[in-house]
Amino acid sequence: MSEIKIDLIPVPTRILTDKDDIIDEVERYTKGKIGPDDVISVAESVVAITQGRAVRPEDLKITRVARLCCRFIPDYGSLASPHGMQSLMDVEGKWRVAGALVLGFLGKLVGMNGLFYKWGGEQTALIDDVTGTMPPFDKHIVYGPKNPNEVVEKLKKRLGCFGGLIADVNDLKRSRVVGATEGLDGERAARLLIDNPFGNASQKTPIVIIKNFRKLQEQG
Amino acid sequence: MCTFTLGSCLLWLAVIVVVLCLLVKLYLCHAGTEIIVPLVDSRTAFKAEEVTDNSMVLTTDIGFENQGKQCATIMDAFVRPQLPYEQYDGLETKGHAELVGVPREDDYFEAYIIQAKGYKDGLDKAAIRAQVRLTARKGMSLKEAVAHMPDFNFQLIWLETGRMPCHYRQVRIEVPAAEVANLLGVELVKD
Repeated sequence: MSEIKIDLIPVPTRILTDKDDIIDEVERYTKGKIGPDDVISVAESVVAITQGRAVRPEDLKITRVARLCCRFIPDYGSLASPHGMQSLMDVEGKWRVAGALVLGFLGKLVGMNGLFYKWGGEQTALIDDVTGTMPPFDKHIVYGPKNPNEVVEKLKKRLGCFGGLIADVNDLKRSRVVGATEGLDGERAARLLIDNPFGNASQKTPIVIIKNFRKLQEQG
Repeated sequence: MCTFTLGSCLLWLAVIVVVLCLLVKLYLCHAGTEIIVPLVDSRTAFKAEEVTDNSMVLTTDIGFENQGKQCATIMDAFVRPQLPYEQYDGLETKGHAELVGVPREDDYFEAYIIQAKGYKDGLDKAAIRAQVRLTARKGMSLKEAVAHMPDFNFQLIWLETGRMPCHYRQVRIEVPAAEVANLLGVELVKD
C-alpha cells in the first residue's frame, strides 16, 4: 500500500471581523487551492468572531458571584478572571455555573475530574479570555462558535471538498474538534493540526487545508 | 434516641454556613491576587532618539513586577504628556507606550500576561517603554524650543486585570527641562 502524502496548507487572510461572513471569506481565500479529497479546517475563535461572539470586558456587568467563582479556577484558565467567568455566566446562567463549580470541587474530592466542564455548559471549555486571540481581539473575550456543525456543512457544500472541521488548537499541543461534517473522522483530522498551523499569536492563518485526507481516512 | 428540633437544625445550618464562609475566606486570603508594581524609581534615564532639527523622541523604560500570587494581564498602556499650550506653546508633545522588546509602529499595545511572583525565566516582570515626541512649534528649531521649555509631566496609564476586574492605573513621571536640554547640548534660557 502506498503512503498517502498529507499536506497542511495554512491560508493567510486579513483579520476577519463580525462584518465578514465566514463561508464567503473561506471560499474567497481558498479558491483554486482546495479539492474534493481535502478537508477545510477553520480556527474556532475566528468562526466565533465572524458570528459576533466576542465581548469586551468593560461591557460586562460583573456580579459578585462571578468575582468569587473565578477565584477557584487556576490563574492560567480563561475563566480565572471576573470578566471571563461573567461572560460564561451570561450565556450559561449564573447559578448553573456556580453549581457546576461546587459539584466539580466535590467531584474532585472523590477523584472525579472534569465535572465542572461537563455540567457548566458547552461554553465552559470554549471561552477565550483576553490575550487568547490575536489583536485587535486580544482585548476581547471570545466565545465558542454557534452551531459549528451547521457552519462546516455549509463550508463543505460551498467548497465541494471532502469535509469541514472547526478546531480549537493551541500552542500547548492540544487540538479539539468543535464541529465536523458528517462522515469525517474529525478527531483524526484534528490530530494532524496538533502543531498548530493556525498560529496562536499574530499569524493571520485561520484557515488550514488538509490535503488528501479522504484517501487517508478511506485507507483506515 | 436523638431528636432534632427545627431550632437546632437551623442552628447547625448556620454554623455550617459560617464555617464554609470562613474556609472560603481563608482560601482566598491564601491564594492572593495579582499585585502589579511599577518600578518608577528605578526607571532608565531619559534617552534622546530620532533627533532632527525640529523634533526628538524622549524615551525611558519602566519596569513592572507582579508581586502577587496570581498572574496578571496588562491589557493596554499609553502615555499622556501634560504640557498644555497655556503653559508652553513652543513644543507639541505626543505620547506612545510599547512593551520593551516588542516594538510596534501602529501605536497598538498588545495585551501581555505577567506571571505570578517567582515564575521562571523572569516572566513575573515586564518593562514598558514610555516615549514622548517633542516637536518644535512657531517656526523654532528644536534646540530653540527646548531652551525655553519648562519642566513637565507625563502619565503612563495602563489597563490591568487578573483576579480583579480590569481597571486603569497610572504613574506620573516628571520630565525636567534641564535633562532634556542636557541631552541636546543646549542651555536653558530663563524667561
